[in-house]
Amino acid sequence: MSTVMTLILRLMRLPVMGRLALILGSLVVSLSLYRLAFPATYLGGTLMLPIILSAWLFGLQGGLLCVSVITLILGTSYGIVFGSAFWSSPWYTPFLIGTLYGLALCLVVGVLRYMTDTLLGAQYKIARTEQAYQQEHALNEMKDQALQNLGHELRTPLAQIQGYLELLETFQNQCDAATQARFIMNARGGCEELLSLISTALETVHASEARQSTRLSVFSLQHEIKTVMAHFEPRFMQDYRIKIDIAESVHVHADPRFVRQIVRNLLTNACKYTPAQTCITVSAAAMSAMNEPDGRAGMICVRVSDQGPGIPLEQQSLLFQRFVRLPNATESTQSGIGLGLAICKQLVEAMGGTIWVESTGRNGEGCCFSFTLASGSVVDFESGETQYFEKAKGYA
Amino acid sequence: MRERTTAFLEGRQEMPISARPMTNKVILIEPNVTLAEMLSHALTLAGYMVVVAAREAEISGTKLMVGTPPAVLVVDLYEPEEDPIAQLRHIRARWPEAPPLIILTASQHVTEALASTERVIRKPFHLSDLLQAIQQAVTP
Repeated sequence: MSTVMTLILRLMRLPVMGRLALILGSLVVSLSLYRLAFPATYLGGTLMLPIILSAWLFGLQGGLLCVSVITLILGTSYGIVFGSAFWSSPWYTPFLIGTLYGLALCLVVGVLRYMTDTLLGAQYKIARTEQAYQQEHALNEMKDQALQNLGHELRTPLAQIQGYLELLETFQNQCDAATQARFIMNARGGCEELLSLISTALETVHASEARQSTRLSVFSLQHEIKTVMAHFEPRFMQDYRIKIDIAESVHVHADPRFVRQIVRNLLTNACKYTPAQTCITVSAAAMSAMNEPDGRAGMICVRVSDQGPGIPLEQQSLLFQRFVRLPNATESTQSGIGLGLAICKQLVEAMGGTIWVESTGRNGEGCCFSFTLASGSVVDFESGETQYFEKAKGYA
Repeated sequence: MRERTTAFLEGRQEMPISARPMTNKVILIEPNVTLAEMLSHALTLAGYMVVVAAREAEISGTKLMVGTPPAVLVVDLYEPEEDPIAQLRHIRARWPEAPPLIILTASQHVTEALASTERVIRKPFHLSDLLQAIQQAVTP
């Protein structure tokens, strides 16, 4: 029974041409059978099939049109055969009854179709409402989880600050000046960690609004990366060799604020999880059509690569999710709430790019985070000159 | 920061300041290096002999267990990366004769789940509360 129902419902979803072909086919077959049996037998019942089909597939109007067409064809053929004597012939009564029967059938099937449409519409509305509810519910759960995680992460640096201050307060007389200074420094470290956590949480809020607030412009990528380096954490600058391999001519069409933040997050991660005194490289180049057939060709690919422990293949898919910290990260002494890469993903996507990671997962081979940005320049092949994107598009 | 904290964990578990004679041994399982250092300072200054491990896996059968048996085990159940209840069960299973446990956690959920069976102190905590809990645990 359910198979029949599924078939009937599937017929409704056929394209218009398909439905028309089905009705015309059944009409031709029915009329042919009717004509073959005429006048030996009256096969009016066969003509009900195209009426049922048209009333079901096109509603009441479709059914009425089909009844009219059949009546017209039969009336014309009877007129040709019987002429004016048709009204008094024995075929007149079955013709009239058949027409009324067809109309009644058309009405019943048409009403059924209408009721089915109404029911399906209501079901669709319910499904959509349910889906919206599920989405809202999931969003609320995510927000709750985010708040919980944030609260949890804030408690650890708070415990550190409170603990060191209390140590100073309680054991001040038993500690020498150097130890006291160290306690104060550690308490301050906790304050900085707290500040960093709060900044990250706020960045997440801004990142989720990024799509609405994106301000694209053409700028020199090298210049922006140098700006990031100028304000990068001094301790990282001391501990790592950070190399910038970006040609001055590379211009991108992106939001400079977002690019700075993405590079800063990727560099911070690289510094956090790779051994000191290793090299971290920031490079950029146009993607070639040969290597990137999926539409990224011509975009600028920015890469941040390190020589750290790498990321196992099975964990790479989790990296860009919110509040995800891989086991390698949790075992390290570095703090974090697993939002940096999720923010990068949101910002890159807000600018129409993609972000991914490449790593063999083997210690020492490191990993490479790459993201794409729209190129800010196009090459004029006739003159061989490079033109800025805005000028080429007529924006300037 | 990295060098200082690493050096602390690798060797210098006994703090330079020792104000009182050490009597009871406290094993501290604390994965956060800065917190471990702070707690270690506090317990040492309060007169305990402190042995620090970053993970519970480090304690059984190692030098941490040699010598005076520990009087108290202070464990920071690190969330959300690991299931803290399972972590605790693991400690109990690996170490059936474990001394009294004092649990440190930042999670409300863990606090509620363990409060009836364990001594739980929620972060951020007052050092005096922790020292009091340890004192109660070591007092026969």
